[in-house]
Amino acid sequence: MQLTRPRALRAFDPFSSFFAFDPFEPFASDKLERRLERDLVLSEEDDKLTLSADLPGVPAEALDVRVDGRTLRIEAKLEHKAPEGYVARRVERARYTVSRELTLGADVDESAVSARLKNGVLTITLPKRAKAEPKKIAVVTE
Amino acid sequence: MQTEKVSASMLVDIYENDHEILLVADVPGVSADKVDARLEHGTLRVSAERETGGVVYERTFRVRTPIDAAGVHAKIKDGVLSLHLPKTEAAKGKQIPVASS
Repeated sequence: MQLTRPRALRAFDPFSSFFAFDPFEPFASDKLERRLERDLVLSEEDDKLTLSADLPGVPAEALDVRVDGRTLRIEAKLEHKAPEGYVARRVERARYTVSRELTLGADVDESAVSARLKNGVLTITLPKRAKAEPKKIAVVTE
Repeated sequence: MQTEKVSASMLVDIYENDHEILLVADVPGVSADKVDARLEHGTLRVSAERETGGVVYERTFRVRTPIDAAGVHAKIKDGVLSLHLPKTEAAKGKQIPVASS
């Protein structure tokens, strides 16, 4: 998917004529237009599900992670204020509350779920609920 | 085996005051030692490599304001890069018109 947002921003930007910064390469270049499409990745292993979400600049206290049965809900508040005394020349980074709800493909042990935030990446580890060992039934010949 | 690196753009906010231009970029998964910013002939090239996934964020900007290259400094926190680009003494006095809303 090609995102045209940067181009649109540039075209409608009232400051563009005296911008201190300007994209050097034209935005038509594929390389520049391609945004990373991995903001949320869910992976499965034998004993656990792991979800990783890109949430740059979001502190732990602005995050709300809930597991209810097979539903995982993540809510994050993205608040990026202009630093005091500065004038904004370009604004591209997201500023809103994001909320994602996912249905998990396995039953998880809710009490063992853990979440960790590092370098703006949230990683949630969801251990699967231990399955009872299949019980071997002895067959008796009559 | 060397995994091929994926190149991706990054979203930025750009702020300015009398003394400097401040570039703020989303670079999730990147630690401080994996950021590279180069200013050469008015071109600023920022690249940052993620710890996992072989992803490299890259973006290039043309900087029209004269920058004191020796004073450029960066910090990274929670996957957000702040790059401070101090203006040269000559550029500091320059009035930049701002449209009123």
